[in-house]
Amino acid sequence: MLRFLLRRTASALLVLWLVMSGVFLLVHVVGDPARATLGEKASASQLASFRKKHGLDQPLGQRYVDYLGDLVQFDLGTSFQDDEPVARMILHRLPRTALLGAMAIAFELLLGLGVGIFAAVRKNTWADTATMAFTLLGISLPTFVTGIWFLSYFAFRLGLFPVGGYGVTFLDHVWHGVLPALTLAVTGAATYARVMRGEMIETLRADYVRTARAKGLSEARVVLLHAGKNALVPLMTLIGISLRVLVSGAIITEAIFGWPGMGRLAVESISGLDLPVVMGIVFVACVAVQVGNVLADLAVAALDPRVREG
Amino acid sequence: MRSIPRRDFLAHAALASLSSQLAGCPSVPETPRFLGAGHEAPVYGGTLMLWEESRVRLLDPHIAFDAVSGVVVEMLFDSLYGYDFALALKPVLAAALPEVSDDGRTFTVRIKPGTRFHHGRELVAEDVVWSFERMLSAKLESPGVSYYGALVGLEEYRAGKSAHVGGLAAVDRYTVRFTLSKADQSFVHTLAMRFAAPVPKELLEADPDAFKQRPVGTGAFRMVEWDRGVRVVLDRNAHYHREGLPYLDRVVLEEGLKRDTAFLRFRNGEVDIVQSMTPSDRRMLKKPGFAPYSALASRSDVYGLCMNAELAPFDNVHVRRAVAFAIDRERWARARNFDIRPTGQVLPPGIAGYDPDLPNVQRFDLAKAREEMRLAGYPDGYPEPVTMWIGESATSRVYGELAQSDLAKVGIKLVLKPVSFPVYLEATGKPKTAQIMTSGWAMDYPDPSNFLSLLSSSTIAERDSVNRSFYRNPELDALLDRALVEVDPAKRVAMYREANDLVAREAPWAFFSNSQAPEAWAPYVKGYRPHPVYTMYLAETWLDLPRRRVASRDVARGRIG
Repeated sequence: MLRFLLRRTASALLVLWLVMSGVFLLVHVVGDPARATLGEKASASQLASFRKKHGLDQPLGQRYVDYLGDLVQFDLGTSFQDDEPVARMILHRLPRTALLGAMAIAFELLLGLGVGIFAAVRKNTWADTATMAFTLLGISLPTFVTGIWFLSYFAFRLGLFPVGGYGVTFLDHVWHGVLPALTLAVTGAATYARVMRGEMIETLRADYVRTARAKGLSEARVVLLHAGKNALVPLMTLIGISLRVLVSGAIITEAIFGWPGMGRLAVESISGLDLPVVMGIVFVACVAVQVGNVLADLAVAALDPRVREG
Repeated sequence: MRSIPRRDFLAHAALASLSSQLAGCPSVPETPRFLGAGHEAPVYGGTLMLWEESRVRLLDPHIAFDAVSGVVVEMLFDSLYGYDFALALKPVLAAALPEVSDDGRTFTVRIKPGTRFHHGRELVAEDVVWSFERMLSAKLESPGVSYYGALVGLEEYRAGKSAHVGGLAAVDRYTVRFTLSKADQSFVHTLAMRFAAPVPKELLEADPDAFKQRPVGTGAFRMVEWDRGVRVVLDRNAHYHREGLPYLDRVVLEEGLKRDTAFLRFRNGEVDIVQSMTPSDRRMLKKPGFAPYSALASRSDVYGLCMNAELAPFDNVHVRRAVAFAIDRERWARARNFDIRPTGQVLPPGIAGYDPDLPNVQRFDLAKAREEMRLAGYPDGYPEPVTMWIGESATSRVYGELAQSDLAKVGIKLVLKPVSFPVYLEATGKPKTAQIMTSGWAMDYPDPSNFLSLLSSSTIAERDSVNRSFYRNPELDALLDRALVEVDPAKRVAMYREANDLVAREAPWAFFSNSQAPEAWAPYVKGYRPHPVYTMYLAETWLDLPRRRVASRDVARGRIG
């Protein structure tokens, strides 16, 4: 297990370096951050002073080396536009995105597994066909369509949820987060539902399930504990992968619902060429996805002894 | 026929019911959901809810320069001077308009005695001098420094050769004197900018980081809470120097709400003023229920096609004039749902020197445009394609396509080059790079010099040029120099009118519009109207409380009413 963990960590670090280097090159050739920060009315001397202060007058190679040097010390730099340490800005936003992500994963699992199991135990019925049709719709709909529709229908027209925003207290945050989390969860839940249905149908045919039924266990126990647990294994990998989808989906969802997380910060920073913030967010998102994948692999190993034993 | 099991039938029925709900969305009334109580005189109290699409970045008046931060900064900080709704300069922290010396180089300002910062201490002349020196220091890198370049001793101060700015002096407890190295009659306007806002020295020196988070000024509202990226909460300033104002107890500004989300909130009665909206939301404002509570806010800005006078074919004045004649400005305004007002001169209405009857005002005249092309030597059109730089926004693309179709009629084939805003700024600020571009200028202060300097050769640079047309005209330069120092207001206005006409005739820009953005406010928001200078002027706004609900959710659901 330790060797497995070390191997996964090494590959995660390699991916992290490649991503950060690629994004560094990309963001440093798209325009002049000095102009983007100080505006079109800034004088030439102010722009020159800004470039000097932030090292933008240095050759790109030098900037890259300096950036990596700072990064290994976990120094993400200072925002061009907010004049705040990037780490502080991200730490301020991270818990909000984490809350949204956690709620989205909870909804994905709750809806995805529930619908998947429901469809599997009713395979080839009207209910199965209809739910699978809805899951297809869920996979196909882009986040911005789902988000805007949820907002205008459930929040504005029906008044069931707040119309965007973040709220004041923790419970208020959770309440404001329901619709954005559901928006984020739609694609994942639909995917899980379809995978879970397939896995459950296979598992419910297995000998040990028949044995469990023959022993007189209740149908709910057979389905949820015996079949459900084994059907979960392939889903664990999917959950790891879905973190990437959540990170990219959060950028759009947070913008639609006015959720003040990292996604919205990313959008604002990209448009303002606030390079340290953009790089900081990419770094954190990349680390989160890598950690998520490692955790998913560990969960699979925990659930499936064959993986654990190599 | 196969029978359907009961549970499947129920599931099917539930899905059918959901589908029908989705298909027939309940209608929502096209009227505001709340009205005012009907008070005639202002009522104190209440919380006004605002929103912004972007986030507030900085609340230090000396370095904050973005529009969103500016909304809050203007509520927290007053400057020495300000503007009324007719764009006339008026004293704010000052007791009167400044006394100007005969040579136009010295401005003496007397502060209103008894004016207090939010924390209660009285504002004195020393605060003004200290605040200016802070803003002008090389360490702070304020974007405002360029407006005060004429102050005596500024360069020495910024270079560290002097501990103080020679041109700044606290004459007595309430009097400040500004001395310029050369006469500049636009200087008084810079005293109305946010950069001229006094800040309390003792708080900034004690804990600059705390000041960033909880700034203290002399404005109508004081800071209560700033949850970055989420909201800013401001309360009424009990020490405000304008007696009896403001009326509102609290202002809450929510950051980062998309404009369509914000408009839904506005319709719900959760946001009280909207200043930005989608075209479909604008149509909603034209419905009878909303129309009385909306207005077009005129902005003092100018937009046009900026032509590079150093590059062919725009190094030929006749081609530039042809472009200015070829633009069908009314059609452009229609294409923008009349969010813009057509214009043919650099100075917007309300600015001294603006004249609707300017002799050479640019206007649409296709025959004259073709004649100018003939005079330029291109009777059959310009043979080469011309690259037009535009931004990536939908509006830029609309302008680009309109220009393409209009200029094609005089034989100029435009090729559009959409780029991101930073790339656009970088490229168009370099000499001999961009042939033609959409461009605009929003005023820093309502003085004609602020617009006409765009076309002065003094604002041309090898990099980051403010004059993006790279237009050089010694006659214009001399006229602008004379106007800047002219003390007689009438003569000064006449000079700027002449410069305005000259620019319209020489056409380094083909001016096409001034902005007029729709704004809307809830019926119970009183005393509010769009201000031509301030993004959100709330000192005289009040809420007609308690507000009355006129359309309930039940109406929305179609159950009653």
